[in-house]
Amino acid sequence: MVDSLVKQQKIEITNVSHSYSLDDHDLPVLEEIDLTIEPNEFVVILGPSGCGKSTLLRMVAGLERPEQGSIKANGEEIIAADPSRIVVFQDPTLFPWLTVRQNVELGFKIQKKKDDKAISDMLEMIGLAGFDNAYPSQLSGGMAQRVALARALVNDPSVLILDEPLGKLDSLTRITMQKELVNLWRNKQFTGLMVTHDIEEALLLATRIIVMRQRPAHIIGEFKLDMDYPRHRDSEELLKIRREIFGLLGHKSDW
Amino acid sequence: MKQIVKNAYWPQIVGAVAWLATAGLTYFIPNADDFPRTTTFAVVCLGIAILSAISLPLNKVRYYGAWILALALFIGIWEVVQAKLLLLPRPFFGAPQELLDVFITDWAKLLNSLAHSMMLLVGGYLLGCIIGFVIGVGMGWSKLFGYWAHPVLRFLGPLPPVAFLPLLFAVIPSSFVAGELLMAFAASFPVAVLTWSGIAGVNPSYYDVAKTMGAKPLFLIRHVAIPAALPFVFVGMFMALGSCFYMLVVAEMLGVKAGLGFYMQWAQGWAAYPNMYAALLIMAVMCTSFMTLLFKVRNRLLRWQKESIKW
Repeated sequence: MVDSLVKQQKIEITNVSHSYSLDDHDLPVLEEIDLTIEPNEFVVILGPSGCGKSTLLRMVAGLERPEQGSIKANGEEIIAADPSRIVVFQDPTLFPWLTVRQNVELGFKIQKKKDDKAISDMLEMIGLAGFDNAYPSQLSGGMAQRVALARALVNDPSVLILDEPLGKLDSLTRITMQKELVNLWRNKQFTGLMVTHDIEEALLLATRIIVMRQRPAHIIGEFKLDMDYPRHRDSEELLKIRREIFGLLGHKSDW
Repeated sequence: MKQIVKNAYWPQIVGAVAWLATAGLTYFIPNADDFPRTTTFAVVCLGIAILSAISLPLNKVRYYGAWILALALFIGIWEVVQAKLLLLPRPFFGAPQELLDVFITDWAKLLNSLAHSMMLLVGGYLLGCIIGFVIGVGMGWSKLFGYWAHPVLRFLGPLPPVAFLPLLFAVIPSSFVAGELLMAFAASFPVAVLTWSGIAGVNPSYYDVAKTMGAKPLFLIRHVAIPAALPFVFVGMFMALGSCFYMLVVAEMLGVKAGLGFYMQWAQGWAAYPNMYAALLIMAVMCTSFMTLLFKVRNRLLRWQKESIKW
C-alpha cells in the first residue's frame, strides 16, 4: 500500500509560542508548545475554553503562522493550507447557497476533480443519502455537522483537524456522533487531531489526550489510552484517567 | 400563500353583473358633453362582463373576483360622475372613454415612447448595476482599491444624480447617452454600497473552509464571497431600480426628446390630459413589470434562502 504510506503525515510542533495584539498590549495565547503526532493517532487536546487550542489547530492547518517555533508535516514546514489537512469547525459552516451534495463536492470543485460516486458513497456512509438536494437551512444541527464531516472526509485527508466539532450539538446527538467519528476514523485511516473541552468525549475518542492549561496555553499533562473501541464511559480505567485530568485542571474535589 | 378555502363564487358573479350594468349605463344614459368612443367603451365593458362570466369556473380568476367587482364599481362611478354628470372640470379630468380613445388613436406613439423609455432604463440600469457591482466587490476585497474608491464613493455617492443633469445635457451632445449615464450613476451607488457591505460581512470561516481545501483567491471571490454577498447585492439592485425609475422620468421630462416622460410633458403642453393618464398607466405597468422581473431573478438565484418575500 504505497498510496497510504504517501498519505501518512507526521506532524511535529516544536517550541511554538504565539500572541495576539489587543489594543495596546500583547495577549500571549500559546507558550512553548511541543507536540509530535504520529500517523493514525487520534490526539485530543483538552483544555478550558478560549485557551488558544483553536489557534494551534489553525496553525497545523496552515491557516495561520506561529510567531515562534515551527510546525512541520513530514519534516517540511507548514506554510499554507493544504487539502491533505482539512479542518472541521465548531459550526458546520456549510455554504448556505449550495445543496448538501454541492457542499460535499466543494473540495473536488476546488481541485477540479469529478467523482460522483465518491460523493454518493460519502453521503451514504454519513447517513445522508437522499438529502442530496436539500439546502443547509433545511438541516438539523447534527445533520449539518455530518455534512461538514463528509465535506472534509471526501477529500481523503491524511490529517483531519477537528475544532470542537460536536460542541454545539445536543447531548444525545453528540453521543451518536462520537461513535460515528470513531468508526470513520477506523475506516478511513486518517490522523485525528481534535480539540474539545469535554473530558468524556476525549476519553471515548482519543488514543492520546493532551491537557492544556488556561491562557497562555501550555501542555501540562499527557495520557496514552490503548483501550479498544467502543469504550464504555464508566470503565474503571477511564474513570481513573478522568480523575487525574480533573486534578490537573484544578478541580480535584469536584469530579 | 396557498388558498385553502374554496374561493366564493358570488363576488365574481356580482362583478360580471356590475360590468354589465356599467356597459348599460354607458350606452343608454346620454353624455353630459361631447365624449368620443362611448359606444366602443360600452362594448369593452360588455366584453369584460362576458369574460368574467365565462371564467367563473377558473379557480385562479375567481380568487380575484372581488377585484373584478371593485373595478366595475370604480369604472361605473367614474363614468357616471364624469361622462354623464360632468361633475369635474374638463380637460383636467377625463372620462373612461377618453382614455380608451387615446389608446385607440395614439397607440403607435405610446408604444414608441414605451420602447424608448425601456431602452434608456434597461441600458442605464444594467450599466449602473455592473459598475456598482465591480466597485463593491473591489472595495470589499482589496484594501488598495478601497483606499481610492471609498473617498470617491463617499463624496459623490450621496449626491442626487439629478444634480448632474444640467451639466451632462450641456456637455454630452446626445441626450440619450446623457440620460443613460445619469441612470447608470443613479443605479451604481446603491449597488456598490450594498455589494461592498455584503462582501465585507461574509463569515470569514467560509474562506477558511475553502482555503483548507486548497482554494486560491480567484475561487474565494467567485465561489465564496460573491454568492455569500448576493442577498445584499439584490437589495442594492432593488433600490437602484427605484432611483432609475425616478431618474428616467426626470431625464425624459427635462432633456431626452423621447419616451413616456417626454410624452407626458408634450401632452401637458397640449392640455391633452387623457393622453397623460394613458402614459401614466403605461408607465405604472412598465415599472411594476421590471420590479416583478427583478424579484423573479432574485427568487431564482436566492432560492436557498428560507425566508423571502413575494413581490
